[in-house]
Amino acid sequence: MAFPRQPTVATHRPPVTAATMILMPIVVGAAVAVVLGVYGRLHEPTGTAINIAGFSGTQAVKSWLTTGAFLLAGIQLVSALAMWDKLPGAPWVPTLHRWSGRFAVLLTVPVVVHCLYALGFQPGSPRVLIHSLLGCFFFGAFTTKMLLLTRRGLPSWVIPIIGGVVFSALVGIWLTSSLWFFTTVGVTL
Amino acid sequence: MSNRGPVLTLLAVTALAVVLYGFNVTTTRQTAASPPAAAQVPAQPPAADQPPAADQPPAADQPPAAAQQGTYAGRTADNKATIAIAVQDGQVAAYVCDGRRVESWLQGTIVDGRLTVQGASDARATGTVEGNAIFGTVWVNGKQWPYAAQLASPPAGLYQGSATANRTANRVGWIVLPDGTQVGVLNRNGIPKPAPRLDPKALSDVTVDGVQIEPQRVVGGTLVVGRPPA
Repeated sequence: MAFPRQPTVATHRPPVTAATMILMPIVVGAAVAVVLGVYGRLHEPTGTAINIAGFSGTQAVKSWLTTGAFLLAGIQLVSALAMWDKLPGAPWVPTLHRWSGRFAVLLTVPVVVHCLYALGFQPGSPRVLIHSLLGCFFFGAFTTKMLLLTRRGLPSWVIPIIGGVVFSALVGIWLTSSLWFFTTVGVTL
Repeated sequence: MSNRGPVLTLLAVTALAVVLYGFNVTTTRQTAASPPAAAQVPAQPPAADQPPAADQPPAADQPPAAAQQGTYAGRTADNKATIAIAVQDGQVAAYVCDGRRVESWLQGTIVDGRLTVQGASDARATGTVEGNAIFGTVWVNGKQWPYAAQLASPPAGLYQGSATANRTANRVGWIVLPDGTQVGVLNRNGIPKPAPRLDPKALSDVTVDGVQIEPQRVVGGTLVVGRPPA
C-alpha cells in the first residue's frame, strides 16, 4: 500500500508531472462532490428512510455514527502527525491510520445515504446549507485523497494538505449536525 | 508495496453506499406499491371498542358515525400529501400538506359525522366518519384529492408553531402519522418550504434561521385559520 513515509521521492520529477498527477484526483473528487450535490438537490427527498433498531430516530443514529467518525478522525490526526515525524512514531501507526480512516468513512456512509435520500441538499438555513456543502465536499475530498495515495512521487506537501482538508470537512460536518443535535435535542440514543 | 489499498477502500465505500441506497429504494417502493391509503385504512383493525353505529341498521348506505374526539391522520390517495383532522366537541382544525410546497390550514365543524372545513384561497375538505376513520375529499391549490385519515393517538397528530422576527412571519405545520412519519411545511411570509424536524414527544423548540419556534399540539378547538396563534 502506498504510504509516504519518505515524502521527498518527487525531487527528480518535473513540476508539470506533479501538477498533472494532482490534477486528475482533484477533478474526479470535484466531480463526486458535484454529483452528490446535484443528486441531493434534484432528487425529491422522501422524508423517511430505513432506521436502525435501538435508536429513537434516524437523527440520533446519524448523530452517533458521525460522532464515531469524528472520534476516529481524531485518531487520524494524531497518527498522521506521527507518520510525518511530528510526533513519536511506532511501526503500527500506519496500519492504525489506514484502518481508523477506513472505519471512519464507513461509518459516514449510512449517514450520507440517509441525508441525500431522505433529506436532500437543503439551502434553507446557514447551518443546513453549510452542512450540505461540507457533506458533498467531504466525499469529493475523500475520493481525491484515496486517488492521490495511489500516486507515487508526489510533492511532500500534497498528502498532508488533502488529509487536513478531509479532516477539517469532517469536523465541520460534525459541528453542524451531531453537536447541533446533541445541544438542541439532547444527548439521546 | 501495493497501491491498491486506497482504491479498494474507495470501492468498499461505494459498494456500501450502493447497497444501503438500494435497500432504501426497495423499502420505499414496497410502501408505494401497497394499495393507496384510501383503500388500506379500513383494512386496519377498527379497534376493539364498540362499533360506532351500533344502534343503526347495517344498511349499505348507513348514515355516518359520530366523530370521536381526537386527531385523525392519513394521506391522500396518491400518497402525495398528508392530512390531519383534529376534532373536539364538533369543532375541527385540519391541515393538509405535502412536506414541500403545498399546505393549507382548514377550520370547520363535524356534524352528525359529516366534516366540512375551509381555509384560505378556496381550500376546503369534506368527509364522512366511518368507524375510526374519516374518508373524503380535499381541495388545495385547485387540486382535488381523495383522502383517508385514521384516528391516531399521540405522538401522532397535528402540530403547529409560529414566530415573527426580522419582519418575517414563520408558521410551521406538522402532521405526524401513526407510523411516526412526519410531514411538515414551513411558511415564511407566504413562501412554503420543508419544515424543520419536530420532536412530537418533547415538543422542544425548533429553530428557523435563529428564530425560536415553540411547537404546540393542535386540537379541534384551536384557531388555525385567520389569526395565527402568537
